Amino acid sequence: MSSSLPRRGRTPRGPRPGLDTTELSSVSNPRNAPPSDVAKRAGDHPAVASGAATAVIGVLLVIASVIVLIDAANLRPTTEPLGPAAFPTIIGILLGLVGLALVLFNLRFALTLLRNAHGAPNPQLWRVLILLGSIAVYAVILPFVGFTVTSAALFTVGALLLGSPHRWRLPLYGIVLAGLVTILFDRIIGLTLPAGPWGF
Amino acid sequence: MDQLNLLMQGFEAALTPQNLLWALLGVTIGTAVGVLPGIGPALTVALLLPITFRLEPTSALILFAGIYYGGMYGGSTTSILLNTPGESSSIVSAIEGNKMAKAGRAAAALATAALGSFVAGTIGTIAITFVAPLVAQFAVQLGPPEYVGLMVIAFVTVSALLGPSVLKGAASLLIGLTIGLVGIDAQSGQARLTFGSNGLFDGIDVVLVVVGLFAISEALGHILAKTGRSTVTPVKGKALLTREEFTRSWPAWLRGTALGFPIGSLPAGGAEIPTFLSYATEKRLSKHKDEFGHGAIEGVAGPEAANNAAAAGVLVPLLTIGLPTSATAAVILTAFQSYGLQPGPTLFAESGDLVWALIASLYIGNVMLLVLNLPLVKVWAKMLTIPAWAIYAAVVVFACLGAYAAGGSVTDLFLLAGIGALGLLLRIADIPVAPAVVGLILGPLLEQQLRRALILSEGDPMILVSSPLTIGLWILIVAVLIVPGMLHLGRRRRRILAASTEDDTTTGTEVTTGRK
Repeated sequence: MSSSLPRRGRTPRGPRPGLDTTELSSVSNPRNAPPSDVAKRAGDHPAVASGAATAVIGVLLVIASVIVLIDAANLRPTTEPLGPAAFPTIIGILLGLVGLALVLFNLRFALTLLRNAHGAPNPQLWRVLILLGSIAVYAVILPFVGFTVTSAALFTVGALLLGSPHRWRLPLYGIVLAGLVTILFDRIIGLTLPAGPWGF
Repeated sequence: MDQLNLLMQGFEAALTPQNLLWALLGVTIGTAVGVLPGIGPALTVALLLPITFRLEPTSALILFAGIYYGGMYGGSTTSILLNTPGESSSIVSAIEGNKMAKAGRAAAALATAALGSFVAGTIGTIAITFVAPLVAQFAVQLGPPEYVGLMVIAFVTVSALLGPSVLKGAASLLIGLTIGLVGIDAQSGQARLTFGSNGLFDGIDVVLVVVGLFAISEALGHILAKTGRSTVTPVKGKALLTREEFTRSWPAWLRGTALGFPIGSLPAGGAEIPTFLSYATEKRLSKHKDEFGHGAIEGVAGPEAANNAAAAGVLVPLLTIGLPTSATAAVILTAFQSYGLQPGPTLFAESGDLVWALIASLYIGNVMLLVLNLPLVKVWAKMLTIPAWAIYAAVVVFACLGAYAAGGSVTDLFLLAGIGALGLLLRIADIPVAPAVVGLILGPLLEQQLRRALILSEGDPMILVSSPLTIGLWILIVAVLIVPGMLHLGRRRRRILAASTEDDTTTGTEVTTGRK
């Protein structure tokens, strides 16, 4: 916070130091004030992002705990001293406890992020989702198009998403990489990779 | 000197041209993946698992051992040049090593790291030769209750020591344990957590989890942080030590080894602890205290030796008790299992030839690594000039190849994407992934031992604390969880880290100009 104050002071037409807005109603009622610059960028703050992600993991653990416990309860008991449900039940209970603790300790970070969530989300997030989607598409078309071509395409998409400065050279790199992998693993080592209509 | 005879036989097996070639391939791949930031030995061994199942077990394990040792050597190169330690155990060498690199002494730092790794690796391997058979003899007496205690100790220490907090470590461990539950229960034949999907009956393959958590999440992390274009400027100079640097380095190597091997060979997690202890020791004993924080060579030599000695030490509980205490060791345990071998006291009796060939290959691998890393260190450093987008786009392709080879179905690739997304979330949350890998692999073994123990006692849980050893183990478990002794270590670690990052803020500009 201290680093942003002098910067704001230096901008001539910016708000007065100590005030985030020219909205005078916010002087009498601080609730009317828009969030400060610092709060707007809360998501950029590693501690906030990390805390919020931890809270999300906590929620996921609690959900997993419920699923694991229900699944364990539906197993048929056996005559063994330790049946199939005992170990999952222990894990399920621990999942719930640890998940709750993570949520409680990190809730404030998640709330900070939620309160200040306006505007578009991080554009890089779309790229992350596109790469995950590409892997799914890769899985679907692999049996039809064959390993070499799909892998070259995946390399190209991945490199573009990672911010490669090249455009047209990438498919070439991809073909070389995928071709080498095919020759090494499919032809030499004998791992059967899916072949497309053209045989590689 | 029974061991020496057995070791000689091991050398006979390991020195065949074919196995020498596997060892050379292993250490080369290991160094390469160690150098490339974010791709560690655990990921590499996991990726190679489905590809190498046609090999003979001895050849495959020699290859994996080479990757394991090579990853340690290569990892130090990256942490020194880039200040991005790939594994938690090379954090400390990054502190002084990167300062030396910035001061133009990268070559000396790399040389002391490589020589220290060689000294520690060789002494560590000698120690394995003599300690492992003794531990195996002792471990024959261990029954299921003792195994339960040992595994819980490994769980508790791995979660407590491998991350920023016990809670986050525990979360990671539980994620691994939960994934380990999926599939048909071996004893009752009932499906657990499969949701009626046939693809999940055999469980979720270790390869998918490791590749998703390490490789896919690394690539996603680079997309999110927009670091796809970063590279590094290569080193200049020869990797040689002056006489003064050598006399300052060798006592640190030996002290680091003395700290690293015993701590590493405990059946408890945390290969990074000896590196922190070594750093603190060197700082206290050094005549050049003022140089610490500005590139003291002892601060690289000691922790680097401790790191490698601990890595050798980790193999003792892995081979003799079947207890992996690091992610890579856990994946190597899976490799043994995929060949129908179960590491543990019986391994030495039943597959002695294989174990001794493996140990002999460690000696050979260390010599190869010294040759690969001293004169050729500049070649490895050049690998860091490959732009990140090329590395991680290729990593995604290899990850998909590995996942497909492991399972051979479309479901596996969907799972890979899902686990990769989970890995990214864990990464943002600063939750370490190594405990998840250990939990995934040890969880089913823990359940098995727990069942055996309760069958022995006909359902009485008191069998778990029926012998002096088990009582001692459980007291230790409670102590690790409650006594703030671990907090003390944590504090020291955080203090060292804090000191190093404080310095970094002042020299931060250099870092940014170094990368393009």
